[in-house]
Amino acid sequence: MSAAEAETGSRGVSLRSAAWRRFRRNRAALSSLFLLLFFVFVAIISPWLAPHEYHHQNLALGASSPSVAHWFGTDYEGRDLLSRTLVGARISFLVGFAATLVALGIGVTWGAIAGWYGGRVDSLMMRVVDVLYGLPYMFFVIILMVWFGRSFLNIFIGLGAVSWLTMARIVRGVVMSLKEKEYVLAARATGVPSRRILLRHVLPNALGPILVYATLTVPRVMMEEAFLSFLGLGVQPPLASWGSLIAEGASLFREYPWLLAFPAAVLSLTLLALNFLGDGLRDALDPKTEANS
Amino acid sequence: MSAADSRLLRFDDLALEFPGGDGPGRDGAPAAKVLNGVDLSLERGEILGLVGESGSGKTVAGLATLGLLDRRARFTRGRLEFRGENIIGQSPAQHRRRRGLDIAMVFQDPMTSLNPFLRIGTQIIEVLRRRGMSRPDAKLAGAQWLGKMGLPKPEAQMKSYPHEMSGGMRQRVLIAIALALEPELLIADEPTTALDVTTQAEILALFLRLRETMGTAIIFITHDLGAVAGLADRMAVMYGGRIVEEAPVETFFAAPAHPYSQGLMASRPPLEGPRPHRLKLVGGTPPDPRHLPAGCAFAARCIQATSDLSCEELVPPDRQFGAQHRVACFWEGPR
Repeated sequence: MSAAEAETGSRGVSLRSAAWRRFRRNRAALSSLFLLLFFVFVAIISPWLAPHEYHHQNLALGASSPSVAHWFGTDYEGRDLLSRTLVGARISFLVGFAATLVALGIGVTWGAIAGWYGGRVDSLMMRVVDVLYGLPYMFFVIILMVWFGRSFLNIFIGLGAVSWLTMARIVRGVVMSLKEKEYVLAARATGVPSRRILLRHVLPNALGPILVYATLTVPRVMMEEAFLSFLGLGVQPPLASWGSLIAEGASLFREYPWLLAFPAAVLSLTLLALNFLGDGLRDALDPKTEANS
Repeated sequence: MSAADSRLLRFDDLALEFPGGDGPGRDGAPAAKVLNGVDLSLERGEILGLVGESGSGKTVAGLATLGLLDRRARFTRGRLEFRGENIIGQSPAQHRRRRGLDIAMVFQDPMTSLNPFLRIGTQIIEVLRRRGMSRPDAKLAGAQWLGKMGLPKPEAQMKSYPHEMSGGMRQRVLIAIALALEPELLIADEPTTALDVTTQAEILALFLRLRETMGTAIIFITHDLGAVAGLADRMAVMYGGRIVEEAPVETFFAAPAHPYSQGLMASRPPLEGPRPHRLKLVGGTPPDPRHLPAGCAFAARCIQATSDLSCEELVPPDRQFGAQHRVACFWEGPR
């Protein structure tokens, strides 16, 4: 006891700090985290950073290849691609994070209630998820877009509304296994109210899987936004998202390859980094990886 | 009537089963009869040792007292009285109000009974605040409790996480949490099984001290006859969901009357003399609660069972001999 005590002191080394230690050792995940923080930071300050107005047209210039004045070149209407990519970053990140938040909110609540109360509540709630799961899901988003208009808000409501399903399933499963834990029984044995046990004892322990899945939802949602924009259902010109830029670039790929290359590169980098981050978090938050790290 | 009043807890012919056939296999299996007429009572401030094999119903009896059984559990007959009030069939809220305040339970494995995510302090404060204690007061009282349990530097320990503690320390923390609201009854379900022998002794001493200082009645569920001998006033042996023998500890250790109790006593390694090549065993396996025999549950393994006694056909009733000694067996014994 004394050795362990001397080593850790009485500060209390939380599971969180242990997880952070494991995470730091994972280079790919750590550099992904920094890259993402950099991207997000740039996206936030982009209005002050952008060298040109993203919607300023210079028809005389037309599509020009990358130059000192326009690092990423310009598009067909002579708009600065770097500025458009920066504004696109804001849109893409916003959609990615907002839809993930919606997914988190609905998915965690839904899954936690179903898993915790079990029985008939659980069957009913999960059948709802099953039915929604059965819908072809891009199609569902497209219908939402068509019905409620192609507004920006609707994009992430639509995307969030379908991406909570997997979150709900994951959370339900985790809660069901956690509720059999001895410390839950021990808490019940001292009369801690059921709801408090769920909120204070069960959900914090489910944080790992929730966080990991949320990290993996962001790139998926971003890709879906890109896809919607690619189909012309996403953000409308002159506003740009990475998806809509890629769509434009793809159609002019042969003549002006930089129009596709730059937005595609930043999107790919972001998605890759988010996936690395998610994997890194999963490894760091799973105590079982301690043995082989 | 006054005798009934001094009783804190009373099992009166309590029987319960878990319905079969609705498990994942849905194979129409018969119900598992886990408790089959338990008669047992506990005085205020008394320590009762409850021993028996795994699956004999000890833990289920404990969980029933707290109202923590799985919702499929079905009580088929009998009563379970706490302070003279039948608590079978009470609402979950009624049970919950009693937990911690009147009855608390400590579980077998201290390594898994604490939430790994929360500091020790958070977990004990959470319980203390049920009495409406303010947060700073609860913090103070929590540290005091840890100190009373013999943990060094209790204020510092409040900030520790469970994984920073040894098993013995965690078990002390769990006992502190269980006792924080000063319940009148503590059910300790094999609280020392997962600990090393030295720590076991310390925990047992702690229980004795608690009873002296707070008058806590304790049901001590265990496999360990040695622990019962040092701790309990009275002991009960459980087999197949029934109490087969109940006696004051001295009486029991001097002259166990039930063949199963005798088997248990004989299976202990001797403290003196040459070590036997093999320990004596109670042969056979415990009965399957889904297919209990018609007669005595122990008959198939019993070395005394004979057809004359109709052990296989009839359930032996409780027989009293001696003031507080009771056995559920037909065998008159060699006495």
